[in-house]
Amino acid sequence: MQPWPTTRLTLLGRLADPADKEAWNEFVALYGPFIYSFARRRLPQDEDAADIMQEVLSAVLKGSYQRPKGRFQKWLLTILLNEIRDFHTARARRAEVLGAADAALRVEDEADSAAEEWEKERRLHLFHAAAERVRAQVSPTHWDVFVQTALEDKTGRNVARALDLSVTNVYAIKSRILKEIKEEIDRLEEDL
Amino acid sequence: MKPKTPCPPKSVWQHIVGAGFEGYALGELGPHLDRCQACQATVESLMDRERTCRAIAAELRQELPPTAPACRHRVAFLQQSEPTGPIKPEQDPPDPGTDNRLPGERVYCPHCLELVLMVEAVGCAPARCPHCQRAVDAVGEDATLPDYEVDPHADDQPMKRDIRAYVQNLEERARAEEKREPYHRGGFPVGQVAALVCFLAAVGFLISGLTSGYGMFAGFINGILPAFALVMMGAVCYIFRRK
Repeated sequence: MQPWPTTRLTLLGRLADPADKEAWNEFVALYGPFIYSFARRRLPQDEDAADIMQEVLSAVLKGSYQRPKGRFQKWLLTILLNEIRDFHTARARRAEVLGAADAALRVEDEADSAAEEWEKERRLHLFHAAAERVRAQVSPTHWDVFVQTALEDKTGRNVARALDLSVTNVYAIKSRILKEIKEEIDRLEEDL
Repeated sequence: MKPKTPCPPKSVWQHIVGAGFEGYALGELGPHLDRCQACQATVESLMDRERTCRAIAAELRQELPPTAPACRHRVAFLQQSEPTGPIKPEQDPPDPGTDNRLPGERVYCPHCLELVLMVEAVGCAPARCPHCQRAVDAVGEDATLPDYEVDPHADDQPMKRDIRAYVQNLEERARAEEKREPYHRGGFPVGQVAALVCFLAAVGFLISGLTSGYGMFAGFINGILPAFALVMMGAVCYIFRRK
């Protein structure tokens, strides 16, 4: 196993320890649905995408990523695209053996568009994951304040009246939760 | 009656918003903010203008696609099991006589060879592969007799017997041919005749050279040398004759 950076024990670093099951669960929960969603758009069946997801997550566990050689995101995307490409190649080969004339070989060179799509989707999943973590730590009322003021664009006055809070309190809660979400996003970005 | 607090300048609210309302060190500004709609609008516009707030709100407003059951199950499976690495190979298909698999298990379609989750059979209709839509039975075998299956009674047909007899006849002729000597086409023995002529000419030259009465040297030049050359030529003709 390659030596991991030791300045701060990131999630990737913790994955190297087989005893740290929590790190593995956290990583799977964070990246599994995201990888699945990306793969599903390129594969014919749900189970195929689930298999690819498992292969990619296992590749991370095998520790073949080397930080000095490039960003983790780019490495992960390359692994994922290679797995998808191999899947389609094998499928096309089977179709050739069977003589199926309608089998299309979906091996596309889509590095650039895939990278953009990957980044966009990763950001979406990351923000939602961070929001979910903060939501688990705050009270439901405070979360309601945040959702209504930040996402539903309701005025502080209306939210305060609806939830029986002061307007100042509403703004303070919104500001605090935004800050916590930002910190969580920064932490997740740093980990991976 | 307590006089109303005048609205503070925008920079004050900017500072408070920038600090994230931390510490609640607002003093009299708090009650003022609770009452003053203008200041509330100012604070809200300042908060909305913050890049972080806008970015987070923009991303969170987009809904995540619903997680498919296959993804949920696999994530749960991965979290419960030890992280062992790549997917283990599929187990061998069960004996057709003992179908003890769980319903809805993935099998290899015999037509398109894809690993698929079979669409469950409805009533008398056979299960179908969701990929190629062809019928398969519960263990993933073809539900219909393939076209290429051999008919065990096909050899009894008259046409098949004729063909078999013809093939046997050919085999017997081939065996007989193997025992026969190879055919040899005859021809005029040019090599042998040429050799004979050369030898005879050589003898003639030899006799002529020895009995001519010339000296030894003349006899050698006129008799022995040409005889020797002719003998060599004859030998070559005989060695390389057509066999």
